[in-house]
Amino acid sequence: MDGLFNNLLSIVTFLPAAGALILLFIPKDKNQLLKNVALGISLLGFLVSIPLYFGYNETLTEMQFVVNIPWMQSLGISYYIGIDGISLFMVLLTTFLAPISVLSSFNYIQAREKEYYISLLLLETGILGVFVVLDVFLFYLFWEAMLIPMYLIIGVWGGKRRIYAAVKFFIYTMIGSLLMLVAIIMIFFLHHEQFGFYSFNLFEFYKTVIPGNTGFWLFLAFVLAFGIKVPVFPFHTWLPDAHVEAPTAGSVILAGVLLKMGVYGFIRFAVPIFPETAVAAAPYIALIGVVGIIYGSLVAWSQDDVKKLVAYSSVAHLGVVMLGVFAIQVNAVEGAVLQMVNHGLSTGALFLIVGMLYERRHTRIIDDFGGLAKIIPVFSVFFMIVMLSSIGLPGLNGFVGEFLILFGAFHEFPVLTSIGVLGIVLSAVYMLSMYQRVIFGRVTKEENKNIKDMSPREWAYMVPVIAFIIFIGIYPTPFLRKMETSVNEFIRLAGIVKSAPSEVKSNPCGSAQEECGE
Amino acid sequence: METNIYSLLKWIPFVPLMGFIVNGLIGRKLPEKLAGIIGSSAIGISFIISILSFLKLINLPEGERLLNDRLYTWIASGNLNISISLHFDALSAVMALVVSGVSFLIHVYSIGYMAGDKGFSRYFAYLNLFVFFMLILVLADSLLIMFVGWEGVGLCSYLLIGFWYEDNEKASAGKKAFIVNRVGDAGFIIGLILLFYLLGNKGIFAFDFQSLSHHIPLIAGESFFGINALFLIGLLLFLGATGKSAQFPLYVWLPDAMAGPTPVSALIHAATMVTAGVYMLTRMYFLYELVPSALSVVLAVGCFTAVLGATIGLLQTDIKKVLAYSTISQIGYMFMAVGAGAFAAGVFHLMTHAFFKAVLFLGAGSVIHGLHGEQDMRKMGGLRADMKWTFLVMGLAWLAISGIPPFAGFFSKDMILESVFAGGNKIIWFAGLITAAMTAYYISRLIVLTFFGEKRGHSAHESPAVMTIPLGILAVLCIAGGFIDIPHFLEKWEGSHHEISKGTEDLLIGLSVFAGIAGITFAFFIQKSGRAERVKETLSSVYTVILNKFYVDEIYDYLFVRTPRWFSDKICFRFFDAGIIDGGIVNGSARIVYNIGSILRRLQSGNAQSYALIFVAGVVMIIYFVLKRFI
Amino acid sequence: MNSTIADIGLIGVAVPILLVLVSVWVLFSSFFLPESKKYWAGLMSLIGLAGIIFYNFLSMDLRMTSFYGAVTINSFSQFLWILFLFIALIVMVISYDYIKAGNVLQGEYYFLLFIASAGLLFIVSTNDLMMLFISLEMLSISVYILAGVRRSSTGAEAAFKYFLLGSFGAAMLIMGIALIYGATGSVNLKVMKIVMPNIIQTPFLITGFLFVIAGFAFKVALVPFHMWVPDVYEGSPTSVSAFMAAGVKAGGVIALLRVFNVLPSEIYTDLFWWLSVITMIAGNLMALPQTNLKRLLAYSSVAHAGYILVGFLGADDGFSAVLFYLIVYSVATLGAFAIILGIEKTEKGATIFDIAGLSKSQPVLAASLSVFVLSLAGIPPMAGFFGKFYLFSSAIKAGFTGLVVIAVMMSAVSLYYYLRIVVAMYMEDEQSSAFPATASPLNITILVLMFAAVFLGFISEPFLTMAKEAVKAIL
Repeated sequence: MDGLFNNLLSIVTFLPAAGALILLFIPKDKNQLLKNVALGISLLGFLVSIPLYFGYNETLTEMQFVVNIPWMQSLGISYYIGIDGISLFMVLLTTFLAPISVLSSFNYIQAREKEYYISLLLLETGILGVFVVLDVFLFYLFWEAMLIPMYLIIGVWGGKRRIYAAVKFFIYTMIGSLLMLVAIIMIFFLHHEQFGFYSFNLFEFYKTVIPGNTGFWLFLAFVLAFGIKVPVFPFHTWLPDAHVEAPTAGSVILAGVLLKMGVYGFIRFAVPIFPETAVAAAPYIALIGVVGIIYGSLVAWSQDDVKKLVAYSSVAHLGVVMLGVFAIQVNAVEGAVLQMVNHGLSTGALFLIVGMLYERRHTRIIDDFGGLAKIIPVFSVFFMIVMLSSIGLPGLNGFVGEFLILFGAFHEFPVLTSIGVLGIVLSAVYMLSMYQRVIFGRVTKEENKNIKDMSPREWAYMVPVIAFIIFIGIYPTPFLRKMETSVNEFIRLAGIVKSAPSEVKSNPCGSAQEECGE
Repeated sequence: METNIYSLLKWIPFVPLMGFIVNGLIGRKLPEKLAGIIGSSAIGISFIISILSFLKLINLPEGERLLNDRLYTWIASGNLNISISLHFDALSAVMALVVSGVSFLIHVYSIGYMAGDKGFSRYFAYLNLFVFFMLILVLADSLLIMFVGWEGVGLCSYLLIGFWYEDNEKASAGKKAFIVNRVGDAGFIIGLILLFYLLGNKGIFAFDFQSLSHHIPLIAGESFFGINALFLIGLLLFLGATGKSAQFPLYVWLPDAMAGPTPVSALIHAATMVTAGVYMLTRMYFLYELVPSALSVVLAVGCFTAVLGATIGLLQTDIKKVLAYSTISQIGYMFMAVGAGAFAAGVFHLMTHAFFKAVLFLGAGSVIHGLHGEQDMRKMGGLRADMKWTFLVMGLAWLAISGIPPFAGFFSKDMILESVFAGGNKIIWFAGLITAAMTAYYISRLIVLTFFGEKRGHSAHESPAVMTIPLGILAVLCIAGGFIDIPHFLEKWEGSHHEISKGTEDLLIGLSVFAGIAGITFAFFIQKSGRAERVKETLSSVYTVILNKFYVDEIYDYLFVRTPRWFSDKICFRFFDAGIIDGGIVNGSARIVYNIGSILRRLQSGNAQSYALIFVAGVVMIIYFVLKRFI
Repeated sequence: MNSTIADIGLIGVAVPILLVLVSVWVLFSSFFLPESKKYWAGLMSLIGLAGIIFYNFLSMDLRMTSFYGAVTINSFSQFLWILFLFIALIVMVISYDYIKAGNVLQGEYYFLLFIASAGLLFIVSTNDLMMLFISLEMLSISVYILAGVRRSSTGAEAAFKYFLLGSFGAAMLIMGIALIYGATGSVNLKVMKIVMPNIIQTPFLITGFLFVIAGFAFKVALVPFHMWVPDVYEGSPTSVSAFMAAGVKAGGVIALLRVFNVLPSEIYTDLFWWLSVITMIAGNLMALPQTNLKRLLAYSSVAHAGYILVGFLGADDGFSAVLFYLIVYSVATLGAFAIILGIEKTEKGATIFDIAGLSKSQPVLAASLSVFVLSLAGIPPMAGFFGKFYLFSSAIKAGFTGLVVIAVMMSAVSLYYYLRIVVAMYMEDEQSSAFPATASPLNITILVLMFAAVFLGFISEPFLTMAKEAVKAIL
């Protein structure tokens, strides 16, 4: 890799934070300037991240764009970042959604814009950090640090019960994470026992042998932390509250990328660190996933708040993704990763749609609408496409991911998968019902009679999403090709049966990253 | 097998797609006429291309009558490698011709029918999109691509049924159609996955129909959870078919689907889409031929649906509802053919049915159009004077569907009954015969109520040429259609042929013709001078049950809508989610912790004595705690 | 035997002695200062203290024993001297304006602070239990008076409670020391450390140690010896509360640590395990319903004593972690109290309602307070997280995973009341009028502390190595 590329990843990760710093020095009354700078930074962030896609060599299994600088030698903590074909798309998804969420906030956020955009950009860096770091300590640092801006975004700019939602979100996530921290530390010492040196290097964690019974409990801690984030049933109840209260951009980020952090955690940490345990537990987790599919869809069906409905639909969709990940089968996992992107796009778009409705009518209750197709036809078309993508109509992105997951998962859990397919039926049920009640029928409410159709700004952020929704639907190969090797590597790692090292290694796997390759 | 690449093929579906894009993007700005012309010509072109491809096909030697057009790799993941490629053999040729041809006529007809509708361009956009997906379905080279078309046409039908979305009834009908279809699709996709999975285990990852037909025998022996795998796949795919083709138990959406504009009912819900199931099973004939058990299920379901549809059709008063139930029953007929292994006969009937049912619907449409939207037959009558042309064409279609020689319906229907009989299922055959009679009866009833007798209320006007001419062409096909020798052309799909003696054959033909005539005469007899009323009195109970369609809708509504809805709302959401998980565990534990805090806080009385006391108590406690082991 | 100054090794105790000298100078000069110039006392103290800190830095690597082993200057004491001197300095700076406003007798205030600090310094630089006791009293008595230095009813009440219970603790302590001396014939911790294995653990000896532990536990505010904390913190001048929360607690912790270090683990581990658990649980739970910020911080300081005990069980890694934690904890606590000092309107300090909407009127203060509480809560990337991380990992290494699990769960609980503060400042509408935003020494200190609270974690390694060095000296 040539000069620029070496630090490209760091640039991508910390550019938003730098932007936040710039915003800090802009007087708070210069709203327009603030907005433009925030938008500019996030756009730049996306542009800078594009070379990652083209520069990524999909034939190599090891991490790429790697930077590895020792930080606290005595504890073997180092600034160690890099991406593979899986995190690549998480990063791109994040940088792609960032400008969109900034743009979507221009009207929505009226108060304390400066703080808002600062938090938003800091949040972006936090999330990107989670996706790129390969040092477990650093990972935990980002994993938790990113809670603070999200907490503020929900709590300061949210709706009526925002405080409840924000605190709930924070503490709920924290409980899981703290237990994971304990587990991380224990593995850290296990590794020291077995290899004779301290290291938080992820790949050292991979090598660490974790004795069966302990392994179970530690794995459980990881599952709890990531499961709450995903969220898997029954740890999902923070999600609807958080979504309903969060401002549009908050929901977009939350659904678009935050939830993916959980799944990503499973792929990058939980499974490769505890291969045997994970494989043994896979059927149960898959089961939980399927329960989530059915349960989430059922609950979504009976929501009268559009946003809450979408929130519960996320529970269902991520259930599908979990099923895919824990099938630990190449098609399924590729489907899962792709489906993460898809869900980020379609659910993100759904929240944007809801946000537009809310900006126009200041309500999200389904029955306050109706007959909108007549008044805002273009909006209705966008809504239709997004909804169809969300229910996995062939030709749009949702289907490809779902099919791959179902096809792959069928190899491992035929019955579960077949049940999961019912989720596809149910998704149509609640989505179409909602769509009909909002868009079709006569215009009953006076307030709805003269609301405006999509503004240029709204076009500007909806069109790119729609474009990707269609593109992935008809031509997913560019995405699948990039991730294939890494997915196979993941499956290889999951298949490993660890054995204690014969003799204690001498040199820590720190600065020289080639021996960390695997 | 990548021989005979025929790159023109892709344009059969793609021209309509372009039509959709044009009308969809700028249609609203175009003048009505232009939008209509764009829409129709798009289909016209693809019809022409179909003909060209057809000619190319039949010029090929018997053995390798197959054209291919591979576009690009769609999904490539692991060993799975699915490419978008089209497949043009005798079967898809017939289907493509029927679809594009009938669609073209109906598009033209629609220009007249939809004239002045504010959603005119939207209508044509949807219709083009439908044709695109339908042709994808027909030309698909693998089950998965077919599934794309399969769901796509479902979407279009949803959009077109709910075309007049301002009426919530209609919108709901569209939703119902989509959801019921989704149930079937779930079966389809599981079956497909199971099939791919089993083949994958055998190391086969080429899923185009060619190689499928070669490799299916490999997994013939496989069993899945103790059930014969192929049987299971067959049933699952058939479940998909029952959804799309409105067979029992998933037929309930079709009658409601009549909410859409009549040309849509004619095109989608009579001629093309609803027959996709028959096409799909025929496409997979090589699978079904290996599992007769699955075929007998198809036969039974088809027969049952045929009878059921016909029975309900007897008493419907809404002209379109009658035709809807007739469609259900007729498709049941096709499935009987498939079930009897006579796939070709099924497709043959599919085609003839497309012709005469299209005519019937379009005729009905022009009647409705003429009566300014009146659909209740009891308010019609004596229209033969006002609408000569419509009456004429519908008359032909009427004879065709009633199986009167030499009209199209006769050949196909007779062929089906014959092959069923030959298959040895005498009961099924008899049921089919009865159905034929009933069919003849309710269609004649329709004709009588609409065109004969004296005027009841409205007077009507004949429709414009743009509507009547397509009708005429289709009417001609109602006669000529029977003489197109589909069976021979599709002999690959002829199925196992049980020879039956000439005598029996003649007898069968005689019987089926007799059934038709009997039905007609009975209709004319009973509809005269309120004899119907008397029959109604005598069998009132039966009458009401049939009139209410055996209450199937109500039962379904209770079982599959109200109950789960209640369950989702009361049990899942309010009780479990909000109640137990969130209220109980999450907030409950938080509350408990908080309360303990406030209780402990009470200890903070503020007076020093109590503090000192607690201090001493603490000392005593730790001393006891440590020393207890020494004492 | 004739002894010279040299043998005494006066140079070793130069820093504490300088403290005393400055204090006396400040006290007497303040008598002769006219009312208008009284604030010079403050200036003089600040300058003096700054000078002393500077001197201490110069003599950083001084290692010696003075007064025939009563005082030992080693890496351990040096490390903590710097910490304590800074605590004293910060307390003086943040209270400068408050004192200048003449709420209390200025000379006495600074005098007592100096004496207390000197006491702190002696606590950490002795191996002698007797000496430990004396220096602790030196600290305590001055703080008793400081608590009541604001001659008001609340102040008096606080001072009285503190004094009464404090003398309880002192009594325990002296009694315990007596018992220990009786059993072992020595009061020197170094000696004990060596002989302890060979001594049979008689109930007498154990009781003695338990008395000592109770005495120190009182200073550290371990449950159930914490009862005084909320009332006293609330009643005392906020700057004094800050000094108690940071300085006095730290002194107690060190004293307890020194004793714990000589105890045979097989007998006392369970005790400390339980003390830690109930302290964490009670402290955090009781903090939940608090609305008065000073009381809230009081309980949080109790809870933190519990976390620190977790480090005790973590062997020498744990000890160094404790030292580091004292730094980050002091930074956050001092910062929080400083802010209260800045915004309080009544003697009882500020309530959670007073800071509603603070982020609008005082964005910087609000941000700083959020940083401090998040640091106390141990949320990355704040320094508090690193502190907790080291504490907990040492305990896990020593095999006390269960204890750590309880600790992290309690941190999760603590989030609730820490976040309440953030909620009030950022998510509730403004109720209180804007506070003056001046470049006062207070606000500057707050800023400095905030940066410390943010970045200390990232540069924690050198501190940790220093702490490790320090701990070696006492093992």
